Amino acid sequence: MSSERAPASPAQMVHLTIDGRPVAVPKGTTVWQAARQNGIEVPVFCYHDRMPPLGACRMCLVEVEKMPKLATSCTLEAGEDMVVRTQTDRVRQAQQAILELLLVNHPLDCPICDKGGECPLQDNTLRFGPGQSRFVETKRQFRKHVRMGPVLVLDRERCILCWRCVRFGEIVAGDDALKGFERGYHSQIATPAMEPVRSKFIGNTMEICPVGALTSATYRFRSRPWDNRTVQSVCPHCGCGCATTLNVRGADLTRTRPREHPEVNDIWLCDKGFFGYEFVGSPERLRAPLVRRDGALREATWDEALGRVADALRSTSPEAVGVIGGARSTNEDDYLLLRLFRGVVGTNNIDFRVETAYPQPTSRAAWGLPVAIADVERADAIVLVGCDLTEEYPILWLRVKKAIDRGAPLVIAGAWEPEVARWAQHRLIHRRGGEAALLRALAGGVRAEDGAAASGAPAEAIRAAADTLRAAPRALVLAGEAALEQPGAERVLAALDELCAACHGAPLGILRGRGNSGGAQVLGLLPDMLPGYRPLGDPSAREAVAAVWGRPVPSAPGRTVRGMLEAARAADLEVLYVVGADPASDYPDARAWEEARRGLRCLVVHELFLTRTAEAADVVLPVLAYAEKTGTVANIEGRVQRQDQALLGPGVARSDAEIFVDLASRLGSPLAVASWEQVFAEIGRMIPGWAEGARLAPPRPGAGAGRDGAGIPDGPLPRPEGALALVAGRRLFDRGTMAARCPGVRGQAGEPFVAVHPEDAARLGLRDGMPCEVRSPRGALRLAVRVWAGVHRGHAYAPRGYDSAPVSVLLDERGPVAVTVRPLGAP
Amino acid sequence: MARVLSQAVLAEIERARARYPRPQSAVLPALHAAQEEVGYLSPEALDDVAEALGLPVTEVASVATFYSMFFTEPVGRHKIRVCTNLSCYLNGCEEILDHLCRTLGVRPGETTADGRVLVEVAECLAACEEAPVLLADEDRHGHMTPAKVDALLRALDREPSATSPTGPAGDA
Ligand code: SF4
Ligand code: SF4
Ligand code: FES
Ligand code: FES
Repeated sequence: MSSERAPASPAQMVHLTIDGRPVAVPKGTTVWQAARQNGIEVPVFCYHDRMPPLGACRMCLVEVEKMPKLATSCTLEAGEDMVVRTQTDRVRQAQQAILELLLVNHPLDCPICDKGGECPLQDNTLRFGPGQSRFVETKRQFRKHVRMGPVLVLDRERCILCWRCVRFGEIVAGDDALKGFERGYHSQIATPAMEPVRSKFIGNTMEICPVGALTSATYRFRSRPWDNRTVQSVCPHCGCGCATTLNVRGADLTRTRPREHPEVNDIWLCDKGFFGYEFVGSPERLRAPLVRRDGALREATWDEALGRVADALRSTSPEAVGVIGGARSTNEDDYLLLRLFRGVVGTNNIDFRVETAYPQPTSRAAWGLPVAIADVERADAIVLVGCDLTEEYPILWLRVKKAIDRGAPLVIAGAWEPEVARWAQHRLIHRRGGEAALLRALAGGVRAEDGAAASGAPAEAIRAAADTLRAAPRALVLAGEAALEQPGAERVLAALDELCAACHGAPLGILRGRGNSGGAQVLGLLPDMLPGYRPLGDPSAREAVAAVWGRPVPSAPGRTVRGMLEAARAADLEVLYVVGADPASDYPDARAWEEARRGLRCLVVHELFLTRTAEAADVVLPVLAYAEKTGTVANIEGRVQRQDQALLGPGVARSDAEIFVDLASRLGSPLAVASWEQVFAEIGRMIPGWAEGARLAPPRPGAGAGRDGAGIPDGPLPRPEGALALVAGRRLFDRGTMAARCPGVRGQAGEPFVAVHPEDAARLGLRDGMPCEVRSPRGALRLAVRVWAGVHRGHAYAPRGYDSAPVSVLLDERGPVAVTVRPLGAP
Repeated sequence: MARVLSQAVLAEIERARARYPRPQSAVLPALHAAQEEVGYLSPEALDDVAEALGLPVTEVASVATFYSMFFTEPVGRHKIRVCTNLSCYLNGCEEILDHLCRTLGVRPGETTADGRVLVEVAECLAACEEAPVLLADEDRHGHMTPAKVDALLRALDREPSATSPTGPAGDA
């Protein structure tokens, strides 16, 4: 608990005395804050500086002159000439009484409590409490340890009913996950019928619970706080790049905790960040290089494996070499990737955007936020188009929630209701493909009726939302994958620009990319961009890079991921080098990938695990995970942050960087790299402003365009009778390569499913939970039915990110698909 | 898509909701309506109320457990609450409670095996002048005697929903 925010206007100051010291604070400051700001510690339990005061626990009592009774300093506003005392005998007696009463029912099982050693109740008792208890009766008893889902363990005996966890759910996360049940002596924290807690942010309640009542199922009994080494890191998952601290005991990663970063995650994390670390220590990690011999992958030495790769690269013309990935590596890894493939090999076929078949040119629509994450909470209105915010970028939701609390309206448009729809003032649930018309109607470019006709969203609702937006002086427009991953994306982008213009020049954020996508984009792991968002087509930019590298940069733009796969099918691309990506599961057309794979002469994969892509590779190189190397990454707002090495990697795994350096030497052009710092500094010579903590937001919009692959059909969806338009969405808790190996994430993901509207379900004879076959012209999946009114009629929603049932099997890179959903009998 | 509540009850909840600026204010009337229909506030009933009011089910469930007149477990169709506060105590409520429990074969807080009657103790029912007092479903019965308890139970037998032998106000 630090960095309290004093109220905004410093104009009016009040003067008071605390413990004999004259103190001046802005009007509106509480006595507790005033004391704190002047280095005087008053103990608290219920008060938490990220939430308004409650005054429930009375731990913070102080004596105020002219007030007959002691006052709770957390709720008392500092007044002119107030005389406050925090250290008198009366105060001390009151503190002792409060603690003695709290301990009446507290089990004092510190020796078996995970909180021991970092517990405010322990600390306050030691400093302010009585040495002894007079209570000899029986304590309140509950069933010890209720497991409330895969990550939360509740111990009601330890709870001191401070309400922090409840209020976190109401005020900060807006998910109302935990509540107070019963009353009086029986009061307890719970969920209805003690069902698993439904939240994406529950890890934070474990952090702010001042006792060991809420603890983590994955950290339970793993370590004591003082036995943990702490290492600064950055969450590798969604792309927000939340600052974290890794706890390491011996050779084990024991837990991930938030590291305060006011501009990014403040003091919070989402539950993927909290619990998505266990894959690092998975026994399934690759420990040695694998090389295909006699048709099967077999362990090999680094020398043999890299010799194979070098041979393949040497014997192939540069245009027939392609590189996919880079969003899971550090900036330094990625930079060396560029030096190897652009500089030494000489190809521009480089693209980190593995999960898109419709890449809009970066110069037209760079991914990421044009404003800082912290600025999101300052918007006067927020439009969220085709983005399921808590599923995709959860920490952004906490900022949006703060904006909503300030009175900013949220407008949502999408083919399904995102989880946060309850908080939206306007919900425009529409047909997929209707985005452009709907957005233009919102912008006032076409009539609401026309937008309604094209999108299926009611005209009345469109008009109301448009009026709301027009009244907001500083709106923010955020568009996601669901709106842009389709053939008509150029028109959607144009409509978004129109909407931003109509909203008094609102900034446009493109919420796409994961992990270190931000870094891969700044560095230019793209077919047509160079480091620092400079277009490849700019000769002076090429020369600047060549000057640092001492090698020329090829000038012809390369191929996108889709272009590379098309070229592989046509045998124009022979060697594909995949860095920390799984196109076989994630490229939105599994069959297109398979055909491309067959056309390749050599497939090389850097991986942590034997993914679907790795299984089909000729050479698999085991690499280090984020916690095993030091370097920098950049997040969705382009902020550069450092992560430190916490662990050694498994077996003989190497960093991506080491592999690139080795290959460059084998190809006869050594890169002479001594350390990551040296690489970091070299990037700085190329990108102005490059520094730790700096934010390198994409310029927008720029000029230039990439080659997007052949003919993208654009037009109405062909839909056979009874078929549903397929929409694929991301889930925070999924079962992808990493998540599947984190019990705390995997367990929350549940089984893959397909969601259909109740009317469609009735028509098709589908019931909740029923197994069904979902079939598209490209393939079929067996999924469980979920009947859900949140999805637009005529659509079927299926989650991405399940490696056992990859939705990419159904998808078609050439355009939207319609699926039939057929029941397979009762469950 | 309500699971257990009828259209009539949902309409009643909607009317309650329309009476207030915030849906939270309609939680109590909605829970009463749901409990009346289902007999207790089952998880499905709570889900339906939450959905009808557009509130998180956690919030609705939390309120349901706060008040002792709401039941989140199945209980008897009829609820008899015997006051055991001071005035009633001084006027012999123990005998009333004892007689009631023995006749029905239950302990306070239990429901008869046939699911017909729940017996509970209550705090002051605000009718001390009539002590000892009990509440049978919605109706108050004062100056209770074992004989009047027997009459009350017979009336419950005859008429499953009307509980008072002499009408709500007729027993003063
Ligand atoms: S569980 Fe922890 S945070 Fe929640 S009320 Fe109890 S003590 Fe406070
Ligand atoms: S919001 Fe994103 S970056 Fe932050 S903890 Fe969650 S997954 Fe990690
Ligand atoms: S901290 Fe002030 S009342 Fe709890
Ligand atoms: S004490 Fe029984 S009604 Fe008041």
